[in-house]
Amino acid sequence: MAQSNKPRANKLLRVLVAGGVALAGAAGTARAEDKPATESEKTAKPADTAAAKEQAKKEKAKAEEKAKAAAKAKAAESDGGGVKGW
Amino acid sequence: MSGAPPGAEPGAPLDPRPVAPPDAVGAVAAAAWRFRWQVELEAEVRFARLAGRIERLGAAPALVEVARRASADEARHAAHCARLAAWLGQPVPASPPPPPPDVAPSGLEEEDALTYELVAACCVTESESVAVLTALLPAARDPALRAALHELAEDEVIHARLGWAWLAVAAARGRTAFLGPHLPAMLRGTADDELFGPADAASEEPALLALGVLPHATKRELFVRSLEEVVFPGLEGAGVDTAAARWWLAGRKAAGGTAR
Repeated sequence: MAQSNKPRANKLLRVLVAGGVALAGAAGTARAEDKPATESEKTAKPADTAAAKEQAKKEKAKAEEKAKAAAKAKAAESDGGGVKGW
Repeated sequence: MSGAPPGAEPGAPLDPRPVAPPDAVGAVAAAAWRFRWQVELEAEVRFARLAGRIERLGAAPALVEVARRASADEARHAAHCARLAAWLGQPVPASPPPPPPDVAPSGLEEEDALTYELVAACCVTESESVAVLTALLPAARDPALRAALHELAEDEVIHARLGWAWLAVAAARGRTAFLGPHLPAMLRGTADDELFGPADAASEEPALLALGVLPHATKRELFVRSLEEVVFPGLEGAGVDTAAARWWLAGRKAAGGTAR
C-alpha cells in the first residue's frame, strides 16, 4: 500500500513544490528594494558630511529603540497558529 | 446534484466494525461539507488579504494576481460546498463566518510574517487539500460531485503553488530559517486533536468516499503521508529545518493526538 502510494506522493511533490518554484521563476522575484539603482540615483549628490553624521546618529538611536521594542514584543509573542483545511 | 446521495445503498462491510446507518453517514458527510464551506469562505478573505500584503511588499505582480484569483476561486468553492451540504440535508447558515485571524506569531517582521502566513495557508493547508481531493476523485461516482471535486482540485494546485513560489523567493533572500521552530505550532493549528484520536463508526465508513469525504483513518493517514512526503521535503528544499515538525508529528502518531 505504502509502496503503491509512493509514486503519487512524488508526483504531488513535483506538481506542487516544483510547480511553485517554477511559478516564482516565471513571475520574476525582484522586489522594489532589490532593483538596481537608476541613473539619477547613481548620480545623486553625496550628503553634507556633518548632516550625514547627525542623521546617522539619529538613525542609530532609532534602531536601538526599535530593537528594544522588538525584544519586548518578542517576549510577549504568540506561538503562531495554522490554517484549517479539508 | 443527481438523485439520492451515493453511498446510501446497503452493502456488506468487509470488516467487523458496526455498520453505521446510511443517515448517520450522510450526516457526517453533510457536516464535512458545511465545515468546508466555512473553510473556503475564510480562505476567500485570507487570500484577498494576502494579495494586498504581497503587493505592498513590492513582490512580483504575477504572485499578487495569483492570490487575488485564489480569493475569487475560494468564493466559488464555498458555493459548491454549500450546495453539497444542502444536498446532504444540512444547509449552511445564512451569514458567513467571521473573518479569520492572521496566524503568524507576533514579533515577526512583515516579510517574515507574510512568509509564515503563506506557508501555513498554501504550502501546508492547500497542499494537504490537493492530496485529499486527489484521493477523493477516483471514488466519486456522482457526476456533479466528481465535477466539483475536479474543479476544486485544479484550483487548489495553483493555490498551493503560490505558497511554494513565495517560499522560493524567501529562500533566495535567505529568509526561511526562522520558520523551523514555528512549524509545530503551525501544524497544531492545522490538524486538531480529533484527527489523531479515535472516531465513531459513521466517521470511518468507506461509504463516505462516495459522498466526497475521507473516512477518518484514511484522512489521518493521508495527512501524515503528505507531510512526510510532500510538505517536509518541500520545506527542507527551501532551507527550513523540519526537525521540530518531524518530532511533533512523531509524538502525535505515537500518542494518538495527545502529544504537544
